[in-house]
Amino acid sequence: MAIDLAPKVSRRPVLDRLRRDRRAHIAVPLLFLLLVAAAAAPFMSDSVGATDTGRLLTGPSSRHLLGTDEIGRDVLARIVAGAVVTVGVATITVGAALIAGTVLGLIAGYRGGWVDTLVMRVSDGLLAFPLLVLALTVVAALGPGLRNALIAIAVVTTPRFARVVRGEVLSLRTREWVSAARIVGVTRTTIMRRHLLPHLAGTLLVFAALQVSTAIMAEAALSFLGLSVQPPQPSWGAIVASGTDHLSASWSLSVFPGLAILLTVAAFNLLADALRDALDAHRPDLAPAR
Amino acid sequence: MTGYLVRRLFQLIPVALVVSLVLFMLLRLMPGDPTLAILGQEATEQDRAVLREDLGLDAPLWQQFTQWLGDLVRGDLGSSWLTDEKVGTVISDRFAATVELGVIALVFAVLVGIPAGILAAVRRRTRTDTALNSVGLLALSAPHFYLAALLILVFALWLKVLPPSGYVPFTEDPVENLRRMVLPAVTIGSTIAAVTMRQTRAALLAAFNEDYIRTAEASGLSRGRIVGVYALRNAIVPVVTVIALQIGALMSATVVTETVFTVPGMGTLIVNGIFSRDLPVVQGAVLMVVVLVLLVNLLADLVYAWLDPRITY
Repeated sequence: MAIDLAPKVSRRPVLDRLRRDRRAHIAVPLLFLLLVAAAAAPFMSDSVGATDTGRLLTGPSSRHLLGTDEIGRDVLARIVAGAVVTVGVATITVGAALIAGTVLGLIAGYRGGWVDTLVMRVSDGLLAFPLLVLALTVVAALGPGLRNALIAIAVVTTPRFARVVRGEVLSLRTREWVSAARIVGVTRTTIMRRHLLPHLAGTLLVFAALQVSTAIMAEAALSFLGLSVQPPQPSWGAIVASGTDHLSASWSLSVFPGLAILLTVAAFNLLADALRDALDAHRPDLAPAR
Repeated sequence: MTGYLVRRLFQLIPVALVVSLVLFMLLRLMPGDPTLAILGQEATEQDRAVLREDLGLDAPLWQQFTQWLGDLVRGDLGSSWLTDEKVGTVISDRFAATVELGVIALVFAVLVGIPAGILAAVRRRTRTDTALNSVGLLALSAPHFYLAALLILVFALWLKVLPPSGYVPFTEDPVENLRRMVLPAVTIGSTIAAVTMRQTRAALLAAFNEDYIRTAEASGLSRGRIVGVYALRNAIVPVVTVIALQIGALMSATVVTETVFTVPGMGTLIVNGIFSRDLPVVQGAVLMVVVLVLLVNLLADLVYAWLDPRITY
């Protein structure tokens, strides 16, 4: 039996506020463009690897809109194809960390006791590492490659979610409707799932948007260092890396793929800011940072 | 105050224990045999067995950990698998460049971030405010390696006013050292400058609503004095907190930025260590970075008391 004693969370005004927000007007088209690029990528496999051997490291031209790379491949095609990695990183790592972190945070916050102590001490330990440094350590242990980079980023993001969720749960669990549910005999799991989780949704949404920025940036950095996606598969960070090797020959090879990362991360940051204001979830730990 | 310091140091013990356990486990869990990484693929099984025993890799995992931790407490981080050099020595050779880079980056961030935050707060909801916020957002959204590439492109290749990369020790040639530090330090400091600006702006706007500001205005104090002395003094504590919380991010930024500018610091040490699978070096360097971050955060807590006399420990 599930008795819904929790006050209903209405979503209507949130969407209205979001629709009027200038930041959302910038973010949504950019993110739409990202999704279109990722969807188009599978159809571009021919042009991604094709080399125009007569034109190495050229700037923008009518033949290659964003120029070519060091072996004559079209930079625009590679940026479009690289969008798949970015979208994949964003969904897989943040999705995994969101689920794992929420479960851990819910249990730690609601049950308290030694479970809470254990989860939080391990989180503290993991959070003491600078994000990229921990990701590097995980990649050092597992070896370079996209799969290991994804694991590394999910691992470093999980304690962040656990901490935020636990903090929320600690304040929610003292509310009357939680005590009421407990008194009428609703089980612990049901309380967590049906009564606490819906109230975490807003906070989690904002936090997830911010963590997507962080995850994309972390993967780009690992790719740039050559520790994530391996050639010849294109990823934005790796294209910038080859661009910095050839900066004096071609400015465009690093400028355009970097711009793609910059705009994507900025779009998620703007979306997070707009969402936070729309949900009125002003909390210091939701401030943009990385 | 002393009591507080001791308490805080005690609180660091479980964190340090988890950190060392994580580091130890992660690097022992790696697939493949480290003896192959050291001796190369053509090593004989016998050579490898001898080396395994030398490195203590044949002992049970818990014994390896207590051994490692024991050495660590005595200040022994082990030896590089590649060069046999003491990890402690390798790190101390690299530490100065990273610390110098971090300090210059922080100075840049404070010198740019706080005035920009004040300007944005005083001119709130004007074009200046919007422009500063937009620049801040871009600085927060640009990966450091990208910013580094842009700065090299503009200042080293187009304007030719600064060297594109490389490092000269301060003791050798202070002027050349600083010239080479400018671009990497600005790269690293940009994010922190943006965060500092946002926090200064927000804290000042909150302070402007306080009663004591209205009183100060009513008593006819100049605007500069109200903002600079009354509001800023109260707004500065959260700003210090935010800057201190950025130290971890600063170290992350340093790793990538050092690689781009070929600065021989902790970052390049870690990255090169990963590529050559020199685990003791990676372990030791990462540990030092974490210890540095924890100590800076402790220091920041002590600075609050000095900035805000109401805080007592």
